[in-house]
Amino acid sequence: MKHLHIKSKLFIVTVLFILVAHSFSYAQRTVKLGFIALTDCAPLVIAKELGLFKKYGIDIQLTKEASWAVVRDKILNGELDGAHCLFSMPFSVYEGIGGKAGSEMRIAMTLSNNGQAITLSKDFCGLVGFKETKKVAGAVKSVKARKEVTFAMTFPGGTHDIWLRNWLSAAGINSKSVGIITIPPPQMVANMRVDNMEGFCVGEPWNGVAATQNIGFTEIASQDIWKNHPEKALVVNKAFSEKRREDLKLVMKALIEACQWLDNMGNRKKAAAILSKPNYVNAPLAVIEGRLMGSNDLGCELGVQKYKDDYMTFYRGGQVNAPRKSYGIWFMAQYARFSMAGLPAGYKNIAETIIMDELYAEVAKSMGIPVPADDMKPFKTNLETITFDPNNPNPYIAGSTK
Amino acid sequence: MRKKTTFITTSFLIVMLGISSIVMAQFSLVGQVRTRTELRDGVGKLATKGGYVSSLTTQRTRLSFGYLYDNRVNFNVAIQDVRTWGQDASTITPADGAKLGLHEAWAEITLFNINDTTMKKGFLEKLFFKIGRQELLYDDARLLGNLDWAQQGRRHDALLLKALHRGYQIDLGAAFNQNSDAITTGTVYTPGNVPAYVLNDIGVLVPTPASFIPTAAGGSASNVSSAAGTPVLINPAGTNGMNQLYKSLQFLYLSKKFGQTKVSALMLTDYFAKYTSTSVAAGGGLVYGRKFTKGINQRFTYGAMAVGTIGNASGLKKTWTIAGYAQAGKNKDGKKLEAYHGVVNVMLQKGKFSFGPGYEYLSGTGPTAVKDGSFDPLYGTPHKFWGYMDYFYVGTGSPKAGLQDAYLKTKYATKNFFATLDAHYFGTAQKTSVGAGNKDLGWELDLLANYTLNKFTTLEFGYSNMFANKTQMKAAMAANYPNAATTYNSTGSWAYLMISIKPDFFFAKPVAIKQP
Repeated sequence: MKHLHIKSKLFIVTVLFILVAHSFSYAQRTVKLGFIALTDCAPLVIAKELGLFKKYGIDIQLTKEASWAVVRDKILNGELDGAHCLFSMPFSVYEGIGGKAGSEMRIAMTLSNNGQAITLSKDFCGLVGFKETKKVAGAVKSVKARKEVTFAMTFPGGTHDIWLRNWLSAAGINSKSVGIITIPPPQMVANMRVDNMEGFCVGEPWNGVAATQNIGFTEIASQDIWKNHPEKALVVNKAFSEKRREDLKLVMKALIEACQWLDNMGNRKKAAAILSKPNYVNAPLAVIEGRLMGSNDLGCELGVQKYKDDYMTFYRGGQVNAPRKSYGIWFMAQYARFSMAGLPAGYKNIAETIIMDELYAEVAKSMGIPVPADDMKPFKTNLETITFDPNNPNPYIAGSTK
Repeated sequence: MRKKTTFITTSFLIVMLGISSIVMAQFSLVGQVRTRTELRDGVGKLATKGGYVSSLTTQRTRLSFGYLYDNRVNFNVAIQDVRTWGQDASTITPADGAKLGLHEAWAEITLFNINDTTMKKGFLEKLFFKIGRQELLYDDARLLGNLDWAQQGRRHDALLLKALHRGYQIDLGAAFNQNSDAITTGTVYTPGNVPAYVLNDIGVLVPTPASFIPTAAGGSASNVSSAAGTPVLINPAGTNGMNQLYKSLQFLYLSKKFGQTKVSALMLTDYFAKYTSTSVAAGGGLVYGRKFTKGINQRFTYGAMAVGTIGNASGLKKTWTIAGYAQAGKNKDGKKLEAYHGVVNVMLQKGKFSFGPGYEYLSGTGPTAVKDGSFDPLYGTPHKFWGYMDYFYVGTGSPKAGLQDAYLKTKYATKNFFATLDAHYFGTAQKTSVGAGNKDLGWELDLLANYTLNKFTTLEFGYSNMFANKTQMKAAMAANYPNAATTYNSTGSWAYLMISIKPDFFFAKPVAIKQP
C-alpha cells in the first residue's frame, strides 16, 4: 500500500512537471501587444486576422488601449510586451518630456509612413484652405480676436506634437503663442465638436471623420510636411527585447508580412473592412477606406486631395520598416528646437540604445528584404529650409524657426 | 418606522432610476423663429399691368424636441406655426386662426448596430425603423426634399426602414393616406382640403358636396363652378400645382460612395385615387367637380444620380453632377404617362470663388400629344433649382410643355458670409401652341447674400428679376393666366430679407476629455 502511495506521488509529480513545462513553453510563445484605434494599427490587426502570428508560432494577445499614456505605462511596467506606438515616443519618454526621464523602451521596426493630418475646426472654414500654410497666421489671428485658439495633439513629444509644431512654425506661429493640449486620438473629433479645441493633429481616420461629420477640415496631411516620414513603430519593453529576442524576431517577421500585404493596394479595401470593426478602429468604413486608398475628402466643401505615392504606406520595398537612428536624432533635435528639452550630449548613444537597427537587419536578411543604407545621412523635410545632418544637428537647431 | 424605511428606500430607488435614465438619455430642444419680408412684383407668375407691388412678412415658429435613449430609441416632435403678419386682423382676439401644426412626429428604433457591441448582431451592419410624420430628404432634395424654403416645409406620414451595410445606404419607405377615420368609406381617398362652401354654376353659394372637389376657373372659390375649371382648394396638396395628395407611396433608395463619387438610385411609385368628372345639383344649379371612386392611378418614377468631386479648392475643385429620371404608368388624372428629366452641371471652385454652368431638361407635353409627357419633380425642393422666383414646379404649377433651364451659377463664400449670383435661361421642352414653335420663356437673374451673425442667427437678402417672353410664358403657363383679357408685365422682380434665429436651448459646452 505504501509502495502504491509512492507510485501515486511520483505520477502526480510527473504530471505536474509536464504541465509546468508545457505552460512555460506556452508562455514563451505568448506575446501581448497593444494598439490604439487608428488606421495605422493595421499591421498588427492584419497579422492577427490573416493568421501570420500563428504562422510563426506566436500566440498574440492584442488589446485596444485608451491613450498613448496608457500604452507607455503598460510597456514600461511589462503589462504589454510591445505596441503599435508613435515613433518618437521612446525618445520623448527617455528625455523626460512624455514620461519619467531615463525610462527605456526600444524600437524594433517602423510600421508605417505618412497618413496623419492637421484638422482645423469650422472656425477656420473660409479663412484658410488646404495647404494654404501662409494664410494660417492671419486666420489664427482672426479667430483669436473672438476666442482662445487651442490645438490638440496626442502625446507630448509624440509625432503629432512635432508635426503640429513644425506646421505652426512654417506658418510663422510660435507654438508657445497658442494653447496645446493632449487628447487621445479616438476622442479628438468629440472634443472638437464641443469646441474644446480649434485644431488638432492626429492619425487617420479621425481627420477624415471630422471632415465627414462637418466638424472641421483637413488643412494639411503629414506627408505634405515630410514625405514618407516615420510614423508608427513597434515599440517594445526593454526586458522583452533582451530576454525574448527570438520571439520578438518572429513577431517582426509576421508584421513585415502584414506590411507587405497591406502595401498591395488591391488588399486595402479588405483591410479597411477589417479595421472598421468595433473591436479595432470602430469608425465608418467609407472614411477608413478613402484615406487608406490615398483619397482625402478634405471637408468644408474644399474638395479632395489624392495622393499618388505618398499615402499611408507600410512596406514600400522595405523602405518603411527599417528604423533609422537619424530619425530618432531628428526628433531629439525638434525637442531642442522647440525648447522642450536640451539636445543631450549623448544623443547618438540614446539613438543607438533605442533603435534596434541591428535586430531589424537580421530579420530583414532572413526574409530576403533589402535594408536601406540611408541612415545617418543628411535629409530635409518638405516645410523646412535647412538640411538636417544627424551627425551634427546643432546648426539645424540654431537655424530653424521656433 | 418600517413604513418610513420603505418610503425612504423607494424614494431613493426612484431617484437613482431617474438619474440613471437621465444618464442614458439625451434630450434636445431647438427653436426657430424665421421671418421673411418680401416685396413681390411678379413672383410665381407675371404681374398684371397696372397691378400693385405687394409686401408682406411671413413667419415660421418651430419648436423641435428630441429624445435619444441609449442610441436605440430616437423620438422627435416638431411643432410649428406658420402665418403672415397681421393675418388675425386683431391683436387682442383670442382666436388665432389655428395655424399651429405638427411638422414632424416620429420615432426611430435601432434594430441592428454593429458598432454597439451590446446589441445582437444582425444580417445588416445597421438597421433602423422610423415611423411617423417625417421629412424625406434625399440627394440634393431634387425629388424628395424637406422644402425648407417654404415656411411650412414638407413632411410625409410614412414609415421607413433604413439600412447601412458595407458602405451602402438602403432606404425603403412607404406611406398610406386616408383623410378620415370613418370606418364605412373603404379605402377611397378624397382629398380633404376643399372649402366648405362654393359658388354653383349660377353663382349661388352652396355647401360643397361630400367626397367632392369642386372646379372653377383658375381654381378660385370666387368664380362660379364650371366643368372646364380647375380644382378649388383651400391649400394646394403640394408643389407643382398639385391638387390631389397621393393615396399611397412606396420607394427604394440606394446609394454608395465610390471614392469621391456618390452614386444613388431612386425607385418610387405613388398612387392617386381615381375620380370621375361630374356635377351635383345644389342651390338650384350645378356644382361641377371631381367625385372620387374606387381604384388608383399608379405612377412610377425611377432614375439615378452621380455626384463627383475632383481636386480641391486650393488648386481647382471640380464638382460635377449627372442625373437622369423617367416617369411611367398613369398620371393622377389617369392619363398615360411617359416623361423624362435630365441634369448635368459642373462647378469649378478656386479658393472662395466658384462658378459653373449647367443644363436641366424636364420633358413636356406637345400641343397634339396623346400621352402626358410632362415630368413631375415629385416631392422635392423646386425653389432650389429652377429659379428663386418660383415660376416653375412650385405653387403655381409648371409649363405643360416642360422646361429647359440653362444656367450659370457663381458663388463667393467666406467664413460667415456667402453671396451667389445665378443666371437662368428658360425655355419649354416642347413647342407651345403659340409663337410658331417658339420655346423661349425668358431670363431670370437671382442674387442672394447670406450672413451668419452668430451661432444661432443668419440674415439672408435676396433680389431676383425675371425678363420674360410674356406671350410664350402665358401660353406655356396657361393654368396660371386664366383671364386672357388681362395684360401682363414682361418683367417681374422680387426682393426679400429673411432672418432666422434658431437657438439650441440645451447647448452647453462639455468639459474636455484630456489625457493625464
